[in-house]
Amino acid sequence: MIALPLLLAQVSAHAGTLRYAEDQAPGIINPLFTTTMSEARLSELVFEGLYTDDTELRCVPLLAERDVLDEDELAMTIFLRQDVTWHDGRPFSAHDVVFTIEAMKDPETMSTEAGRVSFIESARAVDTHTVQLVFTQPQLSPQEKLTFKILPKHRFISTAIERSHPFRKDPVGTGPYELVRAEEEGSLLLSAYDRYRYPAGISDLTLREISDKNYQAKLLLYESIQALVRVLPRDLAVLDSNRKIELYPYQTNSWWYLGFNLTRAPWDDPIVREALHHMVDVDALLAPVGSGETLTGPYVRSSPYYNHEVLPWAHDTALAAEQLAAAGWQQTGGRWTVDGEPVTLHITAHRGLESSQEVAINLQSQLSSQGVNVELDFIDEVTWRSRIWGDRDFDAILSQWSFDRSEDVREQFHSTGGRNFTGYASEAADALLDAARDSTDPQSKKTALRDLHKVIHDDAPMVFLWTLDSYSAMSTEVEGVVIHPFTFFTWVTDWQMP
Amino acid sequence: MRPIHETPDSSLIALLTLTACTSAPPPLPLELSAGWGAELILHPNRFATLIGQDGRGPWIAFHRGAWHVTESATTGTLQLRAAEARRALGADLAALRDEAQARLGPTAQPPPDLPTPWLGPLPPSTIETEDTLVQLAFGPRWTMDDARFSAPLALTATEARGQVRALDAELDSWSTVLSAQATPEGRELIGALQPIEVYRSRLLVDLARRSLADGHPEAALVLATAAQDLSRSRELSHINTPDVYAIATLARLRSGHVRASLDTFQVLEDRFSELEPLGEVLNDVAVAEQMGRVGLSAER
Repeated sequence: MIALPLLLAQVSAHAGTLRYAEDQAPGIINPLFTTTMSEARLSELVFEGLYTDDTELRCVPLLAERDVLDEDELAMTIFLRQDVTWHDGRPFSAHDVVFTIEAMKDPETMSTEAGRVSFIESARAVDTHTVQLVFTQPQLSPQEKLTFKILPKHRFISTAIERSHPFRKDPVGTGPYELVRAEEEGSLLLSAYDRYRYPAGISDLTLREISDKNYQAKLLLYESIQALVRVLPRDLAVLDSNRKIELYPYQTNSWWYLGFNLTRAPWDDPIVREALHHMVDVDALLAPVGSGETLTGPYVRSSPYYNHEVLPWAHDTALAAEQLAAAGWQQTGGRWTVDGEPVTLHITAHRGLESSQEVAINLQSQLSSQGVNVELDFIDEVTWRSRIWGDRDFDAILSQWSFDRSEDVREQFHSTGGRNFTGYASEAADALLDAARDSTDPQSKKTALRDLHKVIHDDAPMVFLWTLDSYSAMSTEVEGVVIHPFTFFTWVTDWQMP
Repeated sequence: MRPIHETPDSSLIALLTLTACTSAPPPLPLELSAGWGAELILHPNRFATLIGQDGRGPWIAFHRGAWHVTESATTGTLQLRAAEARRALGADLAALRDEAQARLGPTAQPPPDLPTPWLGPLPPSTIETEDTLVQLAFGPRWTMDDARFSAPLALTATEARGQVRALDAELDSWSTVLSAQATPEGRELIGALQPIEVYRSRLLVDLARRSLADGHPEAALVLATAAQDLSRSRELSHINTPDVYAIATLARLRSGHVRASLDTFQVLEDRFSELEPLGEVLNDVAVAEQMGRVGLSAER
């Protein structure tokens, strides 16, 4: 038998550095405030939850060791692993778990993840390595909900945590990689945590921020990076034909949309929104972006919840004109006006959204040719966070949502949803979302969410655009790769590099 | 440069011997010199003869995966080939239905019958002939009952990737040699019909089937994904044939990636509306496995 230190030394001697490209480096590294896919991927490297997915997507213990669910399913006792330490060397304990849950629930924290612990009424540390959770209602398999990342209590002074807390730049987790430093140009350097429970097949990881997607593919072809998280559809053929690169499906159930601010006139008028739907030629917008599928609602077409009976809004400029006239708009000199003032739609897009400039400019052209003035604004992450998430200061946003395999759109469309920044509020939609959440019958859930698809489509809160083929590309130097369909790096400890 | 009629087997064996020393996968059942590719490319007139027997329509239908249409539109070799493809696809879909039903559990509704044309009567599945043209038409799927193409294949996902790389290296070499020696018409055929890509795809699908038969869905998924033309991954084509998607769906389902299996099945359902009942069963499996989860979402 080989001694563990020797084995670790051997692995370390063979492990290499994996450089991967993201469109944008995460603004912060704090899982309480995860809003983007790049943040979710990075969190997967640095932090851990009580439970996780194995490669067959079964829920298995990670920081937990075992658990006992009460007979009435209203409480659960979780026994934690005792061999876990934080990256700063401090031991992981039940107090960290209780602290994290209380921080997520603390209204002053305003965590974007608060909805994930709403089913927990209270958490208590029974001893250093035992936690008891009490639920608001019976939970058949609560482990499935306990995958959120655990934070180190000793790095905070209170459960009221601000997004600007210094932890965002100096994170400490229990995950397989620890942050070494952030470079000025947007790169983040991570190193395998030497006290992690399993040896790493890759010693170092570098996240490189490369905002130009075309440049990303070139860097991979020139072997400057080893992994590209998302390949542009138009680059698929060239990367697929390169014998030093392998493509991996990375389907995150993502869809693009043009979302209106439903709390701001005139976009709060459903007739106006319907008219704009009839003005947009979605197929023409999609063509230059790449291969994908257009949508009629908040699910991708392969989803079990997609309602295939819902038909797309027809591209019908004459009908759009009729509807705008019915809404009280007038045409003056070929431009639409309200009370004599020209109407201008301000479309805001994130700079980091691939192809967003191309799509927005084509959208501007389509609407402008039909008499609607459009002004475009491309903003960075900081501005996006404050203006869109915070102040909700926009007419319309061009953006993309990505979902894990649950395709749970509650946060986006429930009137109380934490990610519902378009201000969508529908009693019918709320009732269907509640029914789907509370249902224990798969057929009822499926029916409710297909009905939801129709309700949302008919309310037209956003122009649902498309889902794109999504693949990751990786150098053949990286072996043993299996990609998690949402968080990407979940099984990174199995990856190897010479 | 290797003469065109020389078998590449010696170099392949050398390659595989080398990789075997580093615990690489077992040898590929390649017979690149069997004749069909070289026949087609070096003697394009034979292609015309072959097509002429049946007319263009059935061939186009065949290469678009409309195998039952091909069967009813023609006779002889092409009909038998289409029947063979349909038989294999029917078996894949039946396996998919059974897997989905097993995941739903004993209390589930009875599974839907697979509709015709998938379970229609079949001509004999094994064809015996010495006709080179028939061999040319069948390519690597010449005899599906041949043990080389139907025996189980025990591979890990990493070994499967190694298989794909070894195959690509060999096909690249073969393609280069063939292209150099082909007539202008032959080179045109290479570009227009992509016979080497078709051969590659068919072979990888067969390897994926064997991996599934041996209980290695992760390897099967690697092979089935590699078989696809990913730049057109939502379309059926001469490379992305229906069984590519059926095998990928089954591999994903068996490896626990139920939601992802719906992505590949959607391509089949879009094309064959008669498969909607089976798609609904798969939907039910996906919904049942997501009950109780709190979903994750993020921007971009």
